[in-house]
Amino acid sequence: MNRAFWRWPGPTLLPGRQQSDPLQWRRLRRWLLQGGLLCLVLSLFLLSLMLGSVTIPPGEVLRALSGAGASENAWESIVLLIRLPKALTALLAGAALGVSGLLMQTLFRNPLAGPYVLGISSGASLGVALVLLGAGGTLGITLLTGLGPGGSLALAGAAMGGAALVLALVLLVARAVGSNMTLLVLGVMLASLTSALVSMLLYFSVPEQIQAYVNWSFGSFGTVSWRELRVMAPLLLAGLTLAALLAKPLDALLPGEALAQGLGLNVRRARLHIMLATAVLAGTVTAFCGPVGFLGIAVPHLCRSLAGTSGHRTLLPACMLGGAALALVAALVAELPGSNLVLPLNAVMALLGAPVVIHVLLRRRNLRRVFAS
Amino acid sequence: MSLLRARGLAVGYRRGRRAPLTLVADADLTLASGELVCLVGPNGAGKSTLLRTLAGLQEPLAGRVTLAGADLHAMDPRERARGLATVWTDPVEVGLLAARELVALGRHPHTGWSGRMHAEDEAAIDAALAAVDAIELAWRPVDRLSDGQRQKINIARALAQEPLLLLLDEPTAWLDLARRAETMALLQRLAREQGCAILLSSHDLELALRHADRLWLMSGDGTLRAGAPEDLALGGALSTAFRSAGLHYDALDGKFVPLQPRRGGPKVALQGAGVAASWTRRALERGGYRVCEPGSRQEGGAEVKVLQQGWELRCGGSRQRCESLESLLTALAATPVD
Repeated sequence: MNRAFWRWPGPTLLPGRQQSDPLQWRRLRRWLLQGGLLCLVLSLFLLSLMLGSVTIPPGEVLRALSGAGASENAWESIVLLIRLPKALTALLAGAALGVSGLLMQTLFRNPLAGPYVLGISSGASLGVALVLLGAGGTLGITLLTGLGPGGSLALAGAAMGGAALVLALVLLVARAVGSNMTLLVLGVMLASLTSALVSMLLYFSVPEQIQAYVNWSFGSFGTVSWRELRVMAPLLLAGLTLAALLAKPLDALLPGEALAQGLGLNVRRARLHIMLATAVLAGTVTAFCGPVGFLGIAVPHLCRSLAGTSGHRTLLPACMLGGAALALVAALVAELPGSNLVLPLNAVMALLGAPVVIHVLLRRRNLRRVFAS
Repeated sequence: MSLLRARGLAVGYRRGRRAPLTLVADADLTLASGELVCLVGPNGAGKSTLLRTLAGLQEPLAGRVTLAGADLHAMDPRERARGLATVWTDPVEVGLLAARELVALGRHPHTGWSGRMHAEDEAAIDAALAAVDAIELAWRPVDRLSDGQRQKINIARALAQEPLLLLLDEPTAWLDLARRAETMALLQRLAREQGCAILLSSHDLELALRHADRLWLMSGDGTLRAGAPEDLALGGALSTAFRSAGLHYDALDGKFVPLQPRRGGPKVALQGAGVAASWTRRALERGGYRVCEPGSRQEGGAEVKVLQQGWELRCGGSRQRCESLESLLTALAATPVD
């Protein structure tokens, strides 16, 4: 079979020769990419309202959403009370993680950077571990199973507290430290410290507590109900808005800090804004959904490969949409539609995503071009 | 009217509790629009540190620098980036950007918070690309450009800032000889045509001497002398600054030549004129021979005659034709000369 025949041509960075106006062509391509991703996200969103332990036809889903009422009462409550908040959570969390991964990769100019390099998820884990394991006995388990009043909100609060603590430490040091690389190492060190503390706590815990903690660390979009969403959504939307405003400083940081400074960028302030946006996004997601990994590192690579540019006016929206799409797919598959089983989200995400990322990176071979070092 | 003015400038590094390391002390410097100045000096003299200080990235130890009348180090960074653009030695890695997108980064100090480009920004980008003669590179990915092309794009990026002053730290360090000459000629043309002041540091003295309007000579002992290249060469300041074992400044040719280690090598007479003769002389000197005039040839000495095609080596009674300088040197080595 002729390889060139079935191979999707893909946007490349070199339209030049046959295009009369490359600038116009690039703009068109940007819109095509964003439009395609948007359609993908919308159809996945609809799909995740339809599929689950029971399959609900699209017409009924739309009737339930529009308030006209589905033909079966159970369907209406499944769509409105379970699937809609879950799909919205996946949408927002995916967008948040995709964008914060991009922010960190650009700030640290490192392909391995992700939303959690600042130690945010480790901080959140510590907060949760303290509540689940340290609070002793039944309280932690009660909190996790959601029996107590405001159970998962309390858990989220603990995670946020832990994340904020670590973030405050990193920000404090960031004011004094000149180099981004030092900051990166610092984040890794803080993460090791907090996970060591968590290990200590785990070591002295009873199996039920450990089970509860491990369940939390698997990650899930399903634990978020409308009540939690009312807190989570505004925070994530604020973080996404802040990130969207950072396209210009992020572009300036592409050639490195010294040149960014020469372009008139206040590097320290830009760094602070980028870290703040990341912290709000990744911290909130971790607090409500657990440490959802992989997505934050993978989505920026996928989007860069697809878009063929490192420009953030293209990449920021692309990472939001791409992250949302991947999160929706992973949540769908984790549900195992048609069955009553639910798989751990993190595992599903990596199982699905890693082969895709490997395939794209190998085929397009531009990782080294992006992060030449 | 000078654009950049430094009074009593001291440049160096603060080192905590120890006394600061001063690389340049008490320098008064001026730089005028349309002027190309080369900053030269041996390694470690502090060229990069001085450039960093003049770029506003580093505070001076003492003194004050003004750009168009305003204190350079008190300026808002955005304001400063509109007056002053920099190009550093290291190759710029920007990931997946087309050349034009890299040049577009130069518009950052001029655009609003969102970075949206207006018609005048696009025009400035195109003009910058045209000024460095790189319009055909516009949509090539930066990481696929050669070092020379990439440096052109870097300079275009700096020009897109529409600066009054352009600072370049060894812009030719990664380039081959021809590209170096090309870049220097380009910078000279930019200074004349765009009317901006250009200050660059360089290790390439010959090019600096040929293209610079003035030299800033750092000798590594904390002094900085400014002057026309020819004055500095004639006055002996150049040779003093670069004096080291094994290097000798030839004031007549205006270049540095390594001292010949074998002063008392065998004499060879050279007959001929023009380019061929001059390259023959170089080859012989490199081979350790003393080249003398044909008349002064001693009895039994060797003589080389430059022919239309090839060379003739006469020694005693024997004559030998050589097709290349390499074979001439081999033949000479095989001949017993006194």
